[in-house]
Amino acid sequence: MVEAVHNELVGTRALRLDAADKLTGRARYASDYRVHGMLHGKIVRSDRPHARLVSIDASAALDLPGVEAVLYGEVGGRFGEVVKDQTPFAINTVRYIGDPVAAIAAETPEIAEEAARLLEIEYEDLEAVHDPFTALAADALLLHDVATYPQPEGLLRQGNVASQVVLSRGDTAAAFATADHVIEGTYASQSAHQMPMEPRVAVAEADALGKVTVRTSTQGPFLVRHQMHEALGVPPSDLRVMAETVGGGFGSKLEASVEMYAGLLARATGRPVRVANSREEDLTTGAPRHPMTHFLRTAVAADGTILAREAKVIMDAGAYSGASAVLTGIAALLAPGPYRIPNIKVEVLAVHTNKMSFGSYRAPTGPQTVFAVESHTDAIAGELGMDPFEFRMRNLMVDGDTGHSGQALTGVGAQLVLEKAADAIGWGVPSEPSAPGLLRGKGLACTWWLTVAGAGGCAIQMNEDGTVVVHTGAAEIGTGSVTAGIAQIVAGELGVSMDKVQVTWGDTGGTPMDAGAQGSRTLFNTGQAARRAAENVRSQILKRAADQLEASEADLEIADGRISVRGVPDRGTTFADLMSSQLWGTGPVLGNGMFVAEPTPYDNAAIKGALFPYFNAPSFHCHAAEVEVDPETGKVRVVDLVIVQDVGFAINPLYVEGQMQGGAVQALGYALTEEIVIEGGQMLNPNLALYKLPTTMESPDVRTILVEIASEQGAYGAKGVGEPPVVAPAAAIANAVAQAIGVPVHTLPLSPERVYRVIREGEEAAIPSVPAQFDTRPGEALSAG
Amino acid sequence: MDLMEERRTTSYVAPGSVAEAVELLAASEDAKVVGGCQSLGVFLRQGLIEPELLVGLKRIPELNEMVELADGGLRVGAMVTQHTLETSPIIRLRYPALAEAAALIASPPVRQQGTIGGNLCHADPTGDPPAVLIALGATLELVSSAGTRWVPVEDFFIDYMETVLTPAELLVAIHLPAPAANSGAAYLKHRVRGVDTALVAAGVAVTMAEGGRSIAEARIGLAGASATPLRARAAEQVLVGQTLSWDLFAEAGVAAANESDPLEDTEGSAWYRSEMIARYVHRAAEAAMQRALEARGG
Repeated sequence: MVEAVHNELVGTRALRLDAADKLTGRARYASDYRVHGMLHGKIVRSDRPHARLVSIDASAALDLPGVEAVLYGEVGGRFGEVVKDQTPFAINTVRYIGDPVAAIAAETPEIAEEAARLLEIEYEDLEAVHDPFTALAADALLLHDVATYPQPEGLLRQGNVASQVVLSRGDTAAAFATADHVIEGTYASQSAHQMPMEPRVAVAEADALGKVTVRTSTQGPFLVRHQMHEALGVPPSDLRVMAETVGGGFGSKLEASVEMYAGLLARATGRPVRVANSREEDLTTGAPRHPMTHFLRTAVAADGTILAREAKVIMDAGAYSGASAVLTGIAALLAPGPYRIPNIKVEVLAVHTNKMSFGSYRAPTGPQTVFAVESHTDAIAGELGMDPFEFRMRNLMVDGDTGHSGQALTGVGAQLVLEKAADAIGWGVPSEPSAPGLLRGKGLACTWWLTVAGAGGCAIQMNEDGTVVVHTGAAEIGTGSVTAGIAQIVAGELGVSMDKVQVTWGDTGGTPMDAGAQGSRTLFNTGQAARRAAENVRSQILKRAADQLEASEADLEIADGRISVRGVPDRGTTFADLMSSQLWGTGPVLGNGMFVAEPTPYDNAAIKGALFPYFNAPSFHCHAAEVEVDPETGKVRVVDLVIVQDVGFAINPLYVEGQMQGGAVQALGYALTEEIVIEGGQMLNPNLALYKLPTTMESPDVRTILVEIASEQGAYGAKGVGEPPVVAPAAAIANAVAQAIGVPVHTLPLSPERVYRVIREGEEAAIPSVPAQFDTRPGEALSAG
Repeated sequence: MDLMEERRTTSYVAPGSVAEAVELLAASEDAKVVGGCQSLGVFLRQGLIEPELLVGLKRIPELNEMVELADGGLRVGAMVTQHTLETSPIIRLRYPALAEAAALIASPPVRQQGTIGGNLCHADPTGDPPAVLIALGATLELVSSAGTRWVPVEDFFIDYMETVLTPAELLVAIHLPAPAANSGAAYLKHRVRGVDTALVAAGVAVTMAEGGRSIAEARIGLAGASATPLRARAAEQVLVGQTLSWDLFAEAGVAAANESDPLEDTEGSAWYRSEMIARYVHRAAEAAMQRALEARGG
């Protein structure tokens, strides 16, 4: 390893390499991709929430001129992120409205649509399970025959429970028995969709041997390849997944979806096939945020010290296990909040229902759980007669504390971010409403969050003109992590300007493996791999230059693409001169780097069933909001939103701020208007008129405050940046609303009607209604079945 | 069933005159009139309708005109856009409530294309123009090859997205009466987001009795209050003949809520809409009264 150099580009607001193409409309998105002779695929989906699939008659569909293939039944193999509970097509049972039943390839999208109507599918309806509480009942209909699925060790599941995690430390019973105060609260939060501007879309081509190349809009080409390998039942090496420019992901493009159907149809027809989701399909069949219910109970001493927390958390997993089996662990670690609590008992259950599978939406389980926890935190402070700020300061984790599953914590910025947020929002200083009769309120919400680890590789080759091409399997999903961050790291390490760097990314056949744009991980991990690859290139260049200049490597310095002998500026060469003379003779300079974070030690007796047993590179955040409420209508306007985020180190502050602003607005939509409404298994608002994304008219100027407490493992000290800004704003807004109207809120979203009802009818109207058997104490055992 | 046979194509014609347009409508079994294509376009794209013929009105110049009438009123062509209503000096001066209602429709791109006539014929019960035009006492001019008839705007709507227009009839203009002396009108809209249709909205116009502090005339139009845009006659009666008082407008609001039968959807329950009708009628009536008093000079 060579000595670290000072990288002058990291930490600057360097412009991303794809800025001009995106601004001028030249960037080719996956949805723009077309190829000669291409067919159009259509996924035929169940219109029943739960039914036995009796028969499919495709003869009329196949007779339609222009139809090239109709696939259904037992095709390919079992797949699933953790539990292999899915097949490309439903075989005996459909489990949600939208469950794929068949796929059609035709000359035009219209013919494919028509063929779908001609497909005769016979169902026999089964009783459907519409909510997790019904699914947990002792006599509930079981949606899966669990024993038939391969699943990893350590996963706890039974009955309709897809995953159970139990986090347990200390002795909560003893703490509750002696506490001065015991405060309980129930909270509910809704599903919301990632809603990237570009719905899921892929074009697959098969070669003469049946090997498939898919061009797609994805966050993880290697993740998609792995799932396609399972679903198609072919070796990974028969599949090449290439990401085109991605029109947004937010978690919706981590798993294989349209890709596998395009691949199956391309293999069946021998022709390229494009499969594109309509907005409605994307909305109704994606993997949106889990609806969650939180039962919280906290024991507190008279001086405001939290003594114990019990929590029972119910996640609606939907039809298939998907990411739920992983996410229960995150929910468990969030349920005690970023607070020092010696006695904890948390149980998280992800429960199957006959709805779309819920999954990974930017900071999965975060907005829901932090809404519950931080609303509860304000309720506790209220009960004690303490200022919510003071109460939080007293209990927040500090350096030297341990995480809830026993990991050692260092660089804890929890109090610092709270102080900054409170200062920015003017905590404790009342502000004037914009008109008489309106109510103002301010709210704070604190959380901790993680950075997903996961391996990443990077390879760099230098061209004869002294420029470099960087190859990374990471996905640029719009954040700038790859086209700014990776490029900055490499350019800075090599001592060249950004325009000397090209980045080729996201191609399982042409770039090194990467674990994908998930869990805020890209720059933390792949940035480190890129740095190592650049160091490797640098050391090779220095060696070659030393030979040519007849100098010792130690005496050489690099600046602006030029290598010279220190103190003798005339004795030197440039990258371009060196490589133009050597590329074809001595051969190329090829550097590579790999990074995978070291596992964090934790107490594995404290947490059971978690595939996510601790927070890698945890970071601490505080978000603050000020709202104005019209008490006569319940309408809430967010007038100020402050995001204070520990980013570790901002490799590019411009794009970090962009992540914070975008995330905050997404969270504002979640707090106030966004909700996937499902009745009888059917989504009632499957379009952008009825599903209410926030617009610029609802969004205040989000204020971003960066705190940089370096992480030990991330590139240059970076921590994950993408997810934290969506975690706590909904909680901060809810606390602000509660302060404004003088009544706590327990259920999201804070629609005008909900807020109006709470103002009119009081706190009772806000509390979610749950079946009586769940109205038990959170600490009591709730193992299903 | 031969589905290929069932597949249809839609043709489009753009006649140059009203006479030509109504002839085309009379000749076709299944024609739809298209103005700015902001409502019909959605239905076509979603495959909810598949007409044989689309009759576009953009080549008929007179439908884009606004003409002052001898009696002081204004004739607004059916193809006048929401953007024009929002920005036109004459509308802003004489019918500010209409300009305000137009400014609350969807978003600027929609208002650039969408027309007043298209909006009325779409007959969405949550639409903004119907409610404000009811308050302003507008009359609609309907033309067919058989002749012309005039229909008060509140009688134009007969059921959910249904109007009195016959398939062969064309809405060509909206007649706005001259605003009475001592009168004022206001339109207020309650919606989830800045781009949304109304949860509820109220257009209220009041005319003060000469010299007195009582209300001589009141007209109230509601959006989101029933399956059709609604004229709140009972609420109007609460106001007419009464001397101004703090409670009067609240009473009118309650009356309006009582005569409403709001729809229920994912945005709001019928109960909530009902509560908001009371609130918005109250607020809009106050605002209208404020304007009436200002018109009288205090």
